[in-house]
Amino acid sequence: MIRVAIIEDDPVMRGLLSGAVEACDDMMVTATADNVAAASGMIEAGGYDVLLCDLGLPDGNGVTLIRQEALTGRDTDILVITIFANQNKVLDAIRAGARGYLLKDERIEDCIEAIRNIRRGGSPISPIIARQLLGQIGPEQSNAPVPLASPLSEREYEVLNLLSRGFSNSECAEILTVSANTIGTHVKNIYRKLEVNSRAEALFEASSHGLLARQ
Amino acid sequence: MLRPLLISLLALFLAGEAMAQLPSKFTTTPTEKGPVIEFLDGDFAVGNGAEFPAQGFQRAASPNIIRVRDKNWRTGDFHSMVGRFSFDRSALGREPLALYTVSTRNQFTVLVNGREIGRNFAQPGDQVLAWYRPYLFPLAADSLVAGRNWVEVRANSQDSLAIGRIIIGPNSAIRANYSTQFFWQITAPMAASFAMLVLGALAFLFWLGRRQEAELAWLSLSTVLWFLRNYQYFAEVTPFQMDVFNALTVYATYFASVATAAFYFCFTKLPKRNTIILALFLLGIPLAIAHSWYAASNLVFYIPTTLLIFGVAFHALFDVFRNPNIEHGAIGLAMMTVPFFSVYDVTIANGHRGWNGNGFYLSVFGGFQYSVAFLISFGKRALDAFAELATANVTLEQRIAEARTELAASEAARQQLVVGQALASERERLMQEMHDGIGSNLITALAVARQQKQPTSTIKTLNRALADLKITVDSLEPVEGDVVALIGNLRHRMQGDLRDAGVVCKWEVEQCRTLPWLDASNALHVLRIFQEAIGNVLSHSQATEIRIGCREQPREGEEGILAYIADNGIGFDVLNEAPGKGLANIRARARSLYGVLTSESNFSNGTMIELWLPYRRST
Repeated sequence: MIRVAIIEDDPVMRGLLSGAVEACDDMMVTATADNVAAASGMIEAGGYDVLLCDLGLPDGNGVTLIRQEALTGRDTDILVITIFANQNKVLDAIRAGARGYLLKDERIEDCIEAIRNIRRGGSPISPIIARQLLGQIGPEQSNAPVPLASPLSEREYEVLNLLSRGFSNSECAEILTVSANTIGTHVKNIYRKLEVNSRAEALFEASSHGLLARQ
Repeated sequence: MLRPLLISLLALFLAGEAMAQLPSKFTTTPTEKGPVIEFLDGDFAVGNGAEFPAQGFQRAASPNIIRVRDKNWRTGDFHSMVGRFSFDRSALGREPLALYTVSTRNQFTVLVNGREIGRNFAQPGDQVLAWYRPYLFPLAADSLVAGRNWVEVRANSQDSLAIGRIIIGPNSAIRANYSTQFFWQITAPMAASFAMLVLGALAFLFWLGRRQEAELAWLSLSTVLWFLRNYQYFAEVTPFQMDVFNALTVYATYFASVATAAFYFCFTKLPKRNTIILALFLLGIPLAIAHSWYAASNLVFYIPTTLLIFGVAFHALFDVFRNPNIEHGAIGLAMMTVPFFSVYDVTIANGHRGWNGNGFYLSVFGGFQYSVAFLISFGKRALDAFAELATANVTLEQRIAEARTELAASEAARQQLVVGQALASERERLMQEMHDGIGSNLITALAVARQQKQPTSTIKTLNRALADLKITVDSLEPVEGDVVALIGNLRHRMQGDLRDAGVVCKWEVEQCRTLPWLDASNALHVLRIFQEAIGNVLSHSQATEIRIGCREQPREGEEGILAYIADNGIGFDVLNEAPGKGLANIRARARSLYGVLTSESNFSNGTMIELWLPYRRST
């Protein structure tokens, strides 16, 4: 049973999602929230496996909630609810700890499939986001001011490169002779690395600006 | 009144005595003008004091030179010598004759057949310096008589005493020889010495401007000392007491050599040179004491001087070997020739009894030649410095130009950054607006329409509106000209539609370079072209398979990217452009991209639309 929590301020969208989740035999909605304040309490309480989170909430940004969830250290998969999956928003969410996204206009069965998929360990990605990630955590950034805390493996780089050129997961899998699921797992790991690196980067920034006392 | 008379009588008596003697030996050299004779021996008498001896004549070789040290004389005391030479008139021709003598010193009178034909002093007290000066005395037509003739030379000196070479011959023939000798013995050393002084003065002026270059000061000092030393060669009279003058000349030789060495050591930057120079100067003090108080030979100065000039020459040899260039080569060569000058002077010019009037000394030119060498070196350095200055100016100008270009570039980059940031924030604002406004509303409307089971056409319209909005959003995404990622993203977006239509998508993209001109509005054109084309396939073609791809392909010699969409559907009539205004729109968009659109369609093979985009847009 996959326990799902939903943070979404649009009642129609929220209703649509929770209805679809409840309709599945293997899923249930454990909590919903429509603003940051309520969601924060919900996150403290916990008790779910997948957190669906909208970003534009009336009293604040969903990214802070994603970070809050990520910092609890629970084995929660966070999916951002987005209209366009535009790279700025998705990458911000991933840096905060999200592992994927749902498109609001997607067919509802696709949304359900995305929740199952993330639970199986696979993350979605668009070519433009893949391209952006290549630039940000590419394999050998010898000229980077700070060496990456967690650089991409060679295989991850290959996967990202193919995805950025528009190949689908199954095509990538065929080219690299692995299973399609493996591609999704690679993407999820790449997202994790982006989060780790951006956290290390933030730490470095903070310490280099004297915001953190050195022990 | 009485004395000249007595002397004349004495002379007559002596002449009478001599007339009894054998004639002198002489060599005869025939010339175009007639024979020239030079006496090989004569009858000589030497006496102490300024008075000329009247007796004690003895046959001796000519020239007859007596150095002070030969007889333990003291410089400053007068000694005198009379030499007599006889020859037969027939030995000479009929042309106007002249008598030439050189090395005869110091005050002297020449008589022919008892009659004075010339002297080199005005009064007996004159301190004439005649040792290195050639003299020519023309003979009056009636000076000689038929048969035996007599030449008598009377000389006295406070220093070395000599009756040098005596040559008689046609005036025009021996004048040429006299002129040559006068040039090399008097004119040239004098000119060289004064020129050297001027160069030294110049060096001194340079030194005033550049105190850190000690070699300039040493060069200047050395020229003064060498001038002092060289003065004896071309001076007509001793400027002061003969003994003091002689001592000064000898001292100057040593100290001038030390100053020269100091100059050269500074020039070559010899390590510990200051200590060496000081030691050499200090050594001069005991040498001077030994020379003047203990009346030691001039050799106490000449030996250390010789060792020094040889040492400097060896140093020059190594220095030139290390620095084979004009600056070091010119001076080094000058330094290396100095010992050869000295050796030549001592062995060749000097003979075994001091200089006898053959040839001339070379070392008198030493100071001049290395001053000139220094001028060459200094000039070379100055020229190099000017050239370097010019180069430095050019380099400086280049650097300024480079810095200016860099500055302009960085200013342009900064401007671009500012514009970029403004664009980005504007884009962000637009995105936010589309997301929270139109986007949200469309999503809600779509959800409501689906919930309320509104007609398919409504849902389709809403879907299309949302799809258009997404494409607009995608066109705003920064892809830095990566057209492959851009159409990849479109494919990703349309994946669901393709799947729903049951069309298999074959993705055939190859790695392509980025298009530098692909900004948001151009990206939107590209996306719309592909969206339109894929849409056509989905709605009209009845195709089961669609191939989308791109590769680098030049067109009419221009580099570019060829993208294509091909299906296996029913095709359409290209000429009638069956699918309505869709294709016309695509063409218009392709034109505004400076691209080329070609389409090919037939009923058996489906439709192929190709869009070629140039890497560089020619204006």
